[in-house]
Amino acid sequence: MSDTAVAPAWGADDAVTHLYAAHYRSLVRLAALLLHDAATAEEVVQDSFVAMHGAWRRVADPDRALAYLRQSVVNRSRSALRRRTVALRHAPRPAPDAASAEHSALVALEHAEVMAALRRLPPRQREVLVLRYYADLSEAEIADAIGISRGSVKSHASRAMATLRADLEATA
Amino acid sequence: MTTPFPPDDDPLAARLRDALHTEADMVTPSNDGLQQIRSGIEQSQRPWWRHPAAIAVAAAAVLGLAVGGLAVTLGGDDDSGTVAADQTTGPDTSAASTPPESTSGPNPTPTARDEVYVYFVLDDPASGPRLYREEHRLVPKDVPLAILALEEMTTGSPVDPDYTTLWPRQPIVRGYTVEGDTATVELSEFVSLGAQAEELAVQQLVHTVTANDNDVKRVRLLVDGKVPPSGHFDWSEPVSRAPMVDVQGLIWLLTPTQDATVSSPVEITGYGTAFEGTVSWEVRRDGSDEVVAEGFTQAGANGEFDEFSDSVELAPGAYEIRAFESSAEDGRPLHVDSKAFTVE
Repeated sequence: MSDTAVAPAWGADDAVTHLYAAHYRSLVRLAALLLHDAATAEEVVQDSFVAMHGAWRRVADPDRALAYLRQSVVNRSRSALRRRTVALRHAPRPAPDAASAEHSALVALEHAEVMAALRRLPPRQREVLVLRYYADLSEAEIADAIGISRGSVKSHASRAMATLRADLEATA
Repeated sequence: MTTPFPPDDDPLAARLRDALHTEADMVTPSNDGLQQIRSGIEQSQRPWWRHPAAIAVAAAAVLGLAVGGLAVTLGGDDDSGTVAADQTTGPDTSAASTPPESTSGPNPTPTARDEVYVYFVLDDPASGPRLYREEHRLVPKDVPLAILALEEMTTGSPVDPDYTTLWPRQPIVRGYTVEGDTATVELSEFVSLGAQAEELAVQQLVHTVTANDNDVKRVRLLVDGKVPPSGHFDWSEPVSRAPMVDVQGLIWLLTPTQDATVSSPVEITGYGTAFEGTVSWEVRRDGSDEVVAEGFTQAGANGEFDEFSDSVELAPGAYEIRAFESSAEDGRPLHVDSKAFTVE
């Protein structure tokens, strides 16, 4: 978009400012889906921006910068999950929209089931599905973000979908 | 049936998308994110080897390396990339005289480059995950090449998209010292993998260090100052390179490099081993299955590794080349290494 036009002139500080404006929110949400913890998600994304700033002389390209940020967010989320030994601290849920309480309660239950099934998947399978169905990445972009081959993306995806299908049908 | 991602009108896919977006929308980042990032950047501005605590470590590295003839300048106060480009006395600069080619992607400044060897991993269906080497050209820093290479291994990306790294993609390298033929690499984090992958990850690191520091034959690993936490192995002793035939990619295609632009005739070079030493190659037009050129050449035979080379004339355009061993049983390609490249 218009980002690309000014990109060649970016220094590391400009890059942080521009990429923050364009992608901070969606990256925090991505991390929150991987971690199920909004506070840690923000830390993970902030650390990723700091790392990108440090690596700017190597990144130095807006497309690669976003790819770098995604890789970093996925990796750091995985590490944070590994470190988390205590019980999951759930992000506080906002109250459901009062006007459509009944409908939204059903929907919320439905979503909660899907999210719970997603959390039971092995990390890479969960990452593949979140990157696909939340971040709308292509197979190649997912491979790049997770640091695995496209073949592995395919096998993780098909295994994950099969597990999810069985899991959700069992609880339906 | 084997399509990985079902079409978007698949009910499960739709359910998943819906749930993820609803869940995501509930997360609203705080307003001070940018401020937090800026203060994080400020704290990280000094690279670790200039932090007071690391100076002692780095100084030891200098001592260790000075014996090998590599002068490392420390203590310059600005890290704006002004480096005593005095690498000419280094052990690894023989390659610096080769003409530059496009290798490790976009680089902002056409200044001097330090060439480092970084090992990555390719999961070869026929022989399991193995190590493959890439040459990366990086902006020089006044640190030993082995540090530059380890940083690239942990925070950079392989140029070949088929390759991957087994290490967390994070700045986890904290220290590097050399004593005699043994390097000690200090990390802030270890891999968390199965036994086979963990062993290969350690070999990935050992190969990367020893490829960039001729004095080093063995590598001791420390994670937060202690023996690496492993459920599989005892890593308290220094580790040397495992036998090539156990860990190294059986066929490495070294040129053309991934995404390179080259002129015809195209030099095909590589390194490897194959049944009776015969390595086959095929060139396809990018994105097509049609083979436009093929041939075979001689590498090392039956577990002995050796260089191979060949050349091919190609019209301008985008191509993919694959080098492999033809199965003695049924002729199918084994141990494939592939590169996309352009002929100008």
